[in-house]
Amino acid sequence: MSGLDARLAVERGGFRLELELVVPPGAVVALLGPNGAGKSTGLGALAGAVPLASGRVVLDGRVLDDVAVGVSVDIARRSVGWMFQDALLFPHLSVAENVAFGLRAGGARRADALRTAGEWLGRLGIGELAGARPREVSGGQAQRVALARALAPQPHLLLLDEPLAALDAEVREEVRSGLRDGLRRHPGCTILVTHDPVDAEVLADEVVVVEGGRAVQRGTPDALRAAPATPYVSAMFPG
Amino acid sequence: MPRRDLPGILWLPAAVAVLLLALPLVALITRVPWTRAGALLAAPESLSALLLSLGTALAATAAALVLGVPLAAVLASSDRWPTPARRLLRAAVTVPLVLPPVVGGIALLLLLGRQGLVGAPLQSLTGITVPFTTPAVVLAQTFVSMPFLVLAVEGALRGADPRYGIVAASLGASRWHAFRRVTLPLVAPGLVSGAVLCFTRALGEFGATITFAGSLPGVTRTLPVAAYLGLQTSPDSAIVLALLLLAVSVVVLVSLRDRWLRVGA
Repeated sequence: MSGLDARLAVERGGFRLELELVVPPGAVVALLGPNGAGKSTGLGALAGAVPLASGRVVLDGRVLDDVAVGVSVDIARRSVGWMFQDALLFPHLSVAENVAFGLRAGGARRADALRTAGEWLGRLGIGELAGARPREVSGGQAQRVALARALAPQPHLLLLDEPLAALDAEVREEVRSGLRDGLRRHPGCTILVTHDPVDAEVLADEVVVVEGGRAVQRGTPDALRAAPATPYVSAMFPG
Repeated sequence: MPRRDLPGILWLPAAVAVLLLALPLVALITRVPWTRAGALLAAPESLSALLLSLGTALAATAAALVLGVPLAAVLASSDRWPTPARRLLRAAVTVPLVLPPVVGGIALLLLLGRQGLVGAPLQSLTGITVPFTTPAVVLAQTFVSMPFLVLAVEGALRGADPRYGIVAASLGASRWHAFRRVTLPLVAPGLVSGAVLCFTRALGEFGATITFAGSLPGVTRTLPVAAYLGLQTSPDSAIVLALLLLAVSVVVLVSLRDRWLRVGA
């Protein structure tokens, strides 16, 4: 395990994103930035859903993308989990079957996959939801199920795209701490896209501030607070 | 929303339109020989037409599912194709939808008949002739009814959130696994209503069937054909067969009312 080493450029209709990310195994890096800064585009590129204009992505020693030699590993074979703002639980499957989905896709037997799924739900404190249908669980619960589903296949890289943004303020705090517990059990690297500095403070080891398709500053929240490089950074981390 | 009353002049044509649509059905129902209906339906000719219709319409629906669902998936993802190719593909699906079924039957005959584009070599190579056989009935019904299924499923696929497919892929699902286990279940309601619509359309198919498959009792004489021919020989059994087709349509309408008829609800 050597973590993520990515330097990539993406071009989309006149917009250009250039990003360099080095994430050690087990670490959480937050991409913080205003809307339209290119954060989600970067996640899409790391997931293999958005083609790179140039660059190279290496995850735990495995080359996922290398534009110079024409390498691009399919999204399903990258071992990159992806969680969105909406839980997007498969509505026709039970909660446990949702969590078991990635294990089943990886070839696990149904009974084994369901048992492992139950263990993940238990670890995240939502074991009692195993038999429920997605429409029966609350928004906060659904997002924790989505986290269990993303973690169960033990991806080398976990991408979280504004995972708390769609939640009501009352449950956001609770899901945030559930997310922190879950990430502690995740041996791979994590990249968290957010525009909420609290998410970055609570969840991330390092913050990369992205503005206009560029990383304008990186460091711990304390370091950013001490020496903000742009007005946006100082507004996010007031001293 | 507050709204103004309709202008009075619209009421008269609207009433005529309702009568035009409803009165023929009323006439049909009043003429049904209820006491003999069971016996007329159980008569060998009626029964064989009924069984043939059910069998061929089910086969046509199955064919439409096996071929039409993949076509719907291709159509739903064809937005990035060059425009002429996309239009050609869409025309291939929508033209049969608006084509008079008789024209479809003639076209099938010109393709698969003894002198047909494919029919002539098929016969000289294998000895197989398609027209005027039960498979010809299924082909005619599939030609006419599959577009309904394709468009229903395409609409459902376009309405589904593409992020579900991305999530499935990020969990390691191959494209086929994701399509089978996530995409298809997500569009199941559209799939069901498309299949039911397709089945009804196949069951009622007349023009293409009689043109391409003829009217051989027990082989190609389906319910609508039997009802049409029966009018000359035994009107009562024709009326009963027509009632049966009407009943099937009403059942389908009721079962799909939540999906198709709640435009204003």
